[in-house]
Amino acid sequence: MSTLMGHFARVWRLPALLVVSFFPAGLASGQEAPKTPQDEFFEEDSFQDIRLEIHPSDWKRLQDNYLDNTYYPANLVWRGTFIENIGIRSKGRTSRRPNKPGLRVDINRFEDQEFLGLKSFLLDNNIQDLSTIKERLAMSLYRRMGLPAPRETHGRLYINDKLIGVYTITESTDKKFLERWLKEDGGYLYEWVFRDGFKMQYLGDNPDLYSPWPFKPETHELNPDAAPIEKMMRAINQSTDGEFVKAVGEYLDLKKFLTALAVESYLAEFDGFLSESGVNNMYFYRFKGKNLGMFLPKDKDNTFTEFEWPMFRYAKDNVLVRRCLAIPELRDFLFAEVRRAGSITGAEDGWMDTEIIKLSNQLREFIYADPNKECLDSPCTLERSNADFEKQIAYMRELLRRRPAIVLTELKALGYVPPLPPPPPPTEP
Amino acid sequence: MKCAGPFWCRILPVLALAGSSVLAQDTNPDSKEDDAGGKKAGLRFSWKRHPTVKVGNWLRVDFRARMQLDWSILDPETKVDPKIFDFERRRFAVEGTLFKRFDFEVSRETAETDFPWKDVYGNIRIKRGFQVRGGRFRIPFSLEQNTGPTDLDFIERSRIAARLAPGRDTGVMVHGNLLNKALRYQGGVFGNDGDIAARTDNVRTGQRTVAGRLIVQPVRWLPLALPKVMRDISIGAAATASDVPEGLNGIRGRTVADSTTFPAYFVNGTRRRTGLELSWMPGPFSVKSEFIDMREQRLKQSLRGEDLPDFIQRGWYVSGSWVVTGQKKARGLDRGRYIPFIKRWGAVEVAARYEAIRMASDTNTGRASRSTRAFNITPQSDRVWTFGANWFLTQWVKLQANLIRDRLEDSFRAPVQGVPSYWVYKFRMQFVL
Repeated sequence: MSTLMGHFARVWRLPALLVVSFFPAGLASGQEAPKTPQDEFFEEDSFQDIRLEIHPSDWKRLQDNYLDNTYYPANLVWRGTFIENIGIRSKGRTSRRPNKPGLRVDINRFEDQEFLGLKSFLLDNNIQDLSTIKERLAMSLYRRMGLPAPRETHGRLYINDKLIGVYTITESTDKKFLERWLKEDGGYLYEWVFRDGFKMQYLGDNPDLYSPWPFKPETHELNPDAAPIEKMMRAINQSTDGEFVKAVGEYLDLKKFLTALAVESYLAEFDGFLSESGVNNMYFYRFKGKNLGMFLPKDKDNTFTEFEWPMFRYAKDNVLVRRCLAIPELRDFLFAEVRRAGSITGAEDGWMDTEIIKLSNQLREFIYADPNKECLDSPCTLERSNADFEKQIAYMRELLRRRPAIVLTELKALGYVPPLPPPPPPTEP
Repeated sequence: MKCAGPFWCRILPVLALAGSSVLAQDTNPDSKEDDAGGKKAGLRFSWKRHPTVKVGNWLRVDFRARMQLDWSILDPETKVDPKIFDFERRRFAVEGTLFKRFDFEVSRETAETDFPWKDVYGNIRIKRGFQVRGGRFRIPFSLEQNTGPTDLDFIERSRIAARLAPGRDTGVMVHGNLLNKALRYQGGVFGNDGDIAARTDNVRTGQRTVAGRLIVQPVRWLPLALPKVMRDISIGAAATASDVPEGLNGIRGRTVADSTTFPAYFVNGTRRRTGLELSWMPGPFSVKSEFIDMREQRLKQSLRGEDLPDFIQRGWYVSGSWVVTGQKKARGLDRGRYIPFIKRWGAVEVAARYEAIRMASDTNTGRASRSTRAFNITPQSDRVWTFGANWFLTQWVKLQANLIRDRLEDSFRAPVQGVPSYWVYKFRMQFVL
């Protein structure tokens, strides 16, 4: 198998390198937010051990009722730091599992307290991502593209000293996150709640048609003020092409939206803005005292879907994306951002490939020992789940090698003309 | 004739009835008196206060209905989707007497409620001083909780009666009056601990419950030379005990507007309630007061499985009312009073109540916490002023208006975090058949 994969990699190495040269180099801005006290917790090269003390009957209750959102009291121990009386609950949509539940760790559920400056964080059970690192890589790419995205690291979760498994530790998209990234937290934050078939159509002039579903208020819950959302949806759907940029731009930072779309498209995301069944996995933040808002990424563990996953497969169904693609100025910006995402990601031995190698080596020992991770097929044994982890890592690396050429082909088909390479330096006579 | 919709189908006859009743002269409200000496044979139908069917002297069946329409405004608003109008009660009942010794009642609520079946019981009068009741009915605890919703001085019951008293359950109770009605006793065994103590999924938290209540009118009983007006003073005590299984089964704290201010806590062991009550209705005035203490054990409920101090909820209220139009409160205010120039004007009553309820653990040592397994629970209290006016238009129609002020001790657990005080403006239109 490894021979086959090696051959596969060699075959694709040359074209990938050639294609990567079409993407502008050196655009990895690496724009990160300023360091905060919790940086140690989310440190890139660290691996955390999270220990939770919880009444055994509560843990059993949480497992038995893993589809519920009931909070249970617990104590948190991390590197000698002990936080009493936090709250934990099961989280997730399709990834909920009883034996390895994803958890929301709410530091201030019962007390007005913080943990390293955090009010809460998430423990993602990685059920949908056998490699366990897709989301972490994707969020890292968002940040490198200059977009706000939660910081993530990995760790082991112990419940009452019993190992539950390897989790992705994710920063919550909350007021703390907004303050850190946007220097304000007084605006309106909405979590997108999946609504089957909803692809940014205009539903009518009643703001209640948009909030609390799919725009579920996370702040200002008693007064979600969805009127600007209704206006944004109207502008997206009813403005003319000539008005579109100005009309929609009053409510949505179009450039940031297109940059985010470029990231998930390049990384072959199937469950994001352009998912087949409807828009999914994001937050929306409207700035304080303004109509302007922006989308924020969420749950990116469904990236790296297929080598040949067409970036804009479902673009014609999504009103916002379809209209952006019809406006040359926006389309050109989107394609340029895709190029930039490709450039930062790189192919073989590029930044993300190096990250995959580094992270998989760092995590392998812990992931192999995870008793509750899942497999592609049943019955799932530890050996089989370990083999699936390796397969996933190899697949992701292969996708990175092949993706540049596939993306370029799709862009060209959409009318993209790659810029000419810079002229050679003048030679001495 | 078919109605346009179920809402108007139900409400129009009631409104019509109410309108006609406003114009009507009062009739005898106590149709039972009318029946007392009746010796007529055969099937008879009458409609005085409510429709009644009688068969000879051995069967009497009354058909009753109670409807309450509420309008509420909260300031600040605590709900995302506020509901200004609410059809609070839409209850229908059949009650009666068989062979003059067996009473029965079946009532069902058709408005939105967690437990649609209300009173469903039979009662055998073996002697005046010894009766046995079986079925589903109110557990004998709390003066106000055992007062029907249409007979309350305020739109909402006090916090302690609404939250700490058990409410209805299924069981058997012996009860009766002794010493020329100077002593009233109630004691029973119930399958659970009442509807009020149920969780949000309607599972009752308490198991088999033993309850007892004793009410005395000491002035009537003791050979004391006190003024006649004091004969009505009644004082009482009540207690319940039940086992509560381990879980999030502690009783929640809620504001008058039904927002949670204290979540369910983990409890395990025995739940005990103790209550004291006072009632006095001298002429057009009334004074009522209650004290309730509820303790729930928390055996092996710490995160590490150790026992925690008991969880205590304790509260009291004092209320007073004055019938401005002068009728005697104890005789009921549903009979109108003639007022010159205005003519029949019903009865008008003003009332006020102050109450407090506090929730905490039976210790204040150690760091206080809001965790549902905290050793020392951060206390929460709710102090409420209620000012009200009641207008009894006729024996069937009553209008009520209440101005309510809630003030919470711990605003972290307030309906709007950080906001400790809330105003509630309530208006109720009530129709009783």
